[in-house]
Amino acid sequence: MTGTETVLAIEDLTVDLPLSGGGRFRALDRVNLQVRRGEILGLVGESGSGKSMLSLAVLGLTGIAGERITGRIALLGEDVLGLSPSAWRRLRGSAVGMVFQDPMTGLNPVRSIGSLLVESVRRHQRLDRATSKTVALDALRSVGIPSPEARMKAYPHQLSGGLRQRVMIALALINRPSVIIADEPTTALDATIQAQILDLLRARLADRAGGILITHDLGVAAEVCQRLAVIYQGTIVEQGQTAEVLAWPYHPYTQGLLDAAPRFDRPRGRLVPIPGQPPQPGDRREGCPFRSRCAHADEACAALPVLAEVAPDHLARCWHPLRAATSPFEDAV
Amino acid sequence: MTEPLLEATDLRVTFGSAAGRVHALDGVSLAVSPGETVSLVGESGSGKSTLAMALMCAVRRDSGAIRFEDAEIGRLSPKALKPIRRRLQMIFQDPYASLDPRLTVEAILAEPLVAHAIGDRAERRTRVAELLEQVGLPPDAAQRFPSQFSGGQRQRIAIARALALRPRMIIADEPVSALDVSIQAQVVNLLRDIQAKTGIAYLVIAHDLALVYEISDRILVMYLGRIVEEGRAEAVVRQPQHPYTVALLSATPTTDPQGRRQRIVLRGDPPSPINRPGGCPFHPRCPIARDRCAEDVPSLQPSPIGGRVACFYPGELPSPYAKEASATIIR
Ligand SMILES: Nc1ncnc2c1ncn2[C@@H]1O[C@H](COP(=O)(O)OP(=O)(O)O)[C@@H](O)[C@H]1O
Ligand SMILES: Nc1ncnc2c1ncn2[C@@H]1O[C@H](COP(=O)(O)OP(=O)(O)O)[C@@H](O)[C@H]1O
Ligand code: SF4
Ligand SMILES: [Mg+2]
Ligand SMILES: [Mg+2]
Repeated sequence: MTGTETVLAIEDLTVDLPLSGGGRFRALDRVNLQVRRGEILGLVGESGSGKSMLSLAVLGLTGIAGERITGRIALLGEDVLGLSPSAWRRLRGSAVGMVFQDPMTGLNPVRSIGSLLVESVRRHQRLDRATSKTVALDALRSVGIPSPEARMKAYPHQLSGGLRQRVMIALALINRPSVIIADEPTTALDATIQAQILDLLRARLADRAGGILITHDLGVAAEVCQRLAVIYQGTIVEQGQTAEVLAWPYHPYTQGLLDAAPRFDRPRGRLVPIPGQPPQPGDRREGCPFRSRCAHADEACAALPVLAEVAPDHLARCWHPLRAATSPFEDAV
Repeated sequence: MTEPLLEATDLRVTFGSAAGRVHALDGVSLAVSPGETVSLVGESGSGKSTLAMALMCAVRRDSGAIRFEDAEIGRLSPKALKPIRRRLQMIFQDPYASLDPRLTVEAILAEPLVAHAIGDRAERRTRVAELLEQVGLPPDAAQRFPSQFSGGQRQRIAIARALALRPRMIIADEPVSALDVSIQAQVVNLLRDIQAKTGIAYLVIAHDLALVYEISDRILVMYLGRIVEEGRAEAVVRQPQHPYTVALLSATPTTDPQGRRQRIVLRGDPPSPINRPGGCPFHPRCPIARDRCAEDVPSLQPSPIGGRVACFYPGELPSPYAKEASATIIR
């Protein structure tokens, strides 16, 4: 059940990073996203579009020399942008949990699974060792790890990729955070294991929390997320209910992603690529970020379109949306 | 059926490892006809890359025969293999690692011509220009270095290099897996255009069944070093015979709301090729396994719908995509 409480609000988040050859580029440009309790928002875009930068910002894990971050990130209403490292350490693993593509980067390799989980519980919940161990075992059980007692003693490298990702999810959830950020959590996994983990995320991620699932795969987002935000070159270009965005995309980039992906329910031999190349950090970026690859681009697109409401709860940033915007009065006519 | 261009029979490859012997290929047979696209799909560790290397005679086989253009090539010396390599080329997943960063694109594309002593300098330059055009790169790409290109463009360079000797067949190991979906479609269409013009045959290795369906005439499904199903692409997707194929179909994420109904999620991980289960290698994860499946090994047999399948109970599980693809979806 999706509640009404907003657990995460990102407002005008802008990240400028130094370019290797001097100067700066904008990795995220005035991003606005809200996540409600019980909801998983999908953030979808190609590589380099700024998805991981957003996840790192929400986790207080940026720290690139010369970075400049502005805007607001509110966790349960409290602005967390610019918190001290020690304040972040208290929040991470308690108020906000994280799951990365490679669980080996999130799991300390020289610590057993059990000690990682127990330590996190003790640090954030101030429980005694015996109680913490019970909580840890429950956490492993809740993510479907077989014989959890035995696994407590295992080290991350002794587990398969799928089991490691389950442990990472157990660790992310163990202190009942309000927000979970999962950045490409299934990208490194085989299809049948990915399906297991997506099932698990669907069942557990939005239990009590709200989350952002970051992925380059629209299909993955479609499997798990109620709402979808499509990002291109650091800019949100479309946002809305998943089913609606997929069935009636307004932005040419969203349509482009749909047309380029192979599907079993369409006749073969019809992939339509998006022309050109994905943007590079140094690329010029006035106007619509997609215009150099867009079939509909004209002079108007030299100015950045606003992210406008094109239908109820559906936003798109395009001067020439693919269908006529629904008038707010249409239903009444 | 036309005579196969490439035919492998009963390939077996094992590797020694600290934990024991790895049975990477356990009796694989396949054939690829001229001008055909055959894809090999399976999870990581199922033996796809080993099969590619075995077909290129680049890995030691315990047994098995390989025929290419009507000649046995499995026992040739490296020197005798060289002329075969002209007509059987390979492309790898990682366009970053497979191109020498110190060479210009021109040098990279001319290198196979030099190695086979084809043409003089001017003729090679002309051929390089042709190749660049064929893969959709601008003429001035010749003087640049791989690092100056994006991932998709580098894969075009790798394709151009593989085409330099006008091969009759390319074995491509995960050629688009590292690319963004919009670029993946560009490269897939390029490979298709090249095939339409030259009649080249492809053996494509991939882990994405939807992509494989899109590009292939025939699909081979691998599990733990064996082919468990083979069939025409449409048949494999609409009427899969092996329960593992059905599981792969239902595990493939899709934006199609139809595809998200009634799915089979396999439990557990694939077993290790070091400790292969007895009986059917799939039986510990199989949703329809019976007692017999733990005892006997099903061999790859002709299936009721014209392909081949290694299962005692073929066709029992329905495809989540049993219906023919409708014509264009009208929005
Ligand atoms: N540590 C870093 N230093 C400089 N630039 C970076 C760093 N990390 C990411 N970037 C750049 O920021 C942009 C967004 O990257 P990222 O958020 O990782 O994209 P995504 O996760 O969508 O693939 C890219 O252009 C990338 O090159
Ligand atoms: N050179 C090698 N030495 C030892 N084991 C290997 C070697 N190459 C592959 N293997 C093993 O053989 C099996 C099949 O591997 P591979 O052919 O790479 O699978 P795929 O390409 O389908 O992921 C795996 O268990 C892998 O660990
Ligand atoms: S032989 Fe048995 S275990 Fe193997 S796939 Fe068929 S039904 Fe499943
Ligand atoms: Mg990323
Ligand atoms: Mg491989």
